[in-house]
Amino acid sequence: MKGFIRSVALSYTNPHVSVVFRWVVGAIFIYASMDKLLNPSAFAVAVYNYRILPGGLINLVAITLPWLELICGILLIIGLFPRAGALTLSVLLLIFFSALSINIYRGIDISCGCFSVSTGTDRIGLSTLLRDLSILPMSVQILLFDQGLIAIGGRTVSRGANPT
Amino acid sequence: MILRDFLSQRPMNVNAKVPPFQQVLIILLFSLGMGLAINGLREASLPLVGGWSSSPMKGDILAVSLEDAVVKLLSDDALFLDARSTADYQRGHIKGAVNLPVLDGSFGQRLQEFSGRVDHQRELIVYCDGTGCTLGPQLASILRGLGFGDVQILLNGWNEWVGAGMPFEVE
Repeated sequence: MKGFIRSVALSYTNPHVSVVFRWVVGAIFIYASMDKLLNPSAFAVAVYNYRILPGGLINLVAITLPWLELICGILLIIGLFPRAGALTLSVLLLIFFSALSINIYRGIDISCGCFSVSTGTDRIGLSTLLRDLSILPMSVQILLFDQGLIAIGGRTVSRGANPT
Repeated sequence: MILRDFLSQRPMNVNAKVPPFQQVLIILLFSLGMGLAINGLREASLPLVGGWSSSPMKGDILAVSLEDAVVKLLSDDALFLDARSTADYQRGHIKGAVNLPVLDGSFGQRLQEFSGRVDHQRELIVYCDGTGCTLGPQLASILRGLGFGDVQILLNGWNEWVGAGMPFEVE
């Protein structure tokens, strides 16, 4: 058992695993941004339905959030500022988790607005919450252990430093 | 710094050179800039601060009387919007009304298409069916949030309209 935990821990801290996670998380967020970028009005309605933000901020969030997701996704894949991108996405995932939890607790039946702005599909619930949570460990792994392998921006640690 | 490294053909290790919080700031500002720029270039750009209401049911949207609504329809002063389901709309709707079914899965796409097509200064009259119907106020609230400046509600719209023998269409 100890050996198993040790091997999982070693895999989790492996910088090569970070590269795979960067591609996976990057692809997820690029995909998630597409429908919102194409339909900002519909996404504004999805944001409004959560009934969390003050009215004055809804359109600004609907305009900028999809770009934040797209740009962080691209940066992770190409390896430019990967840790900063992962930090931004980790914070976003925690915000999404809070917003979903609040409305599940309120018992409000709304669309997630996570991957599609369509109002009929992807209602919020335990599955959307778990989906959000499943991405977080990958994002945190990049934040903590990425060393900038296969990255256009080079290594994330200075030459000579030994992160391990 | 990225440009300088690129031009000098040295290995780009900007990931280590730029301080982490500066990197986050660059990402946030670039996203904000792109969002605002592309929104500004869109035909159906969103107003930065929309008229979203925290309580769409509390009636902060003007109600229009049946008589005024009829005059506006006949003089083509206002565009009528039917917030009911597509099935209800097809069974009968106010003449010339556009269907934006709030509860249908296609609502988002239809709203996006409508927002791009219709002048945001156009006078809009929203209706649904029955005195307790909430779809009309919901749609009116959403339209105001997206920047439509002149949105009114015809309360108990469809019932009143048909009861008074006003012009309607069936699809």
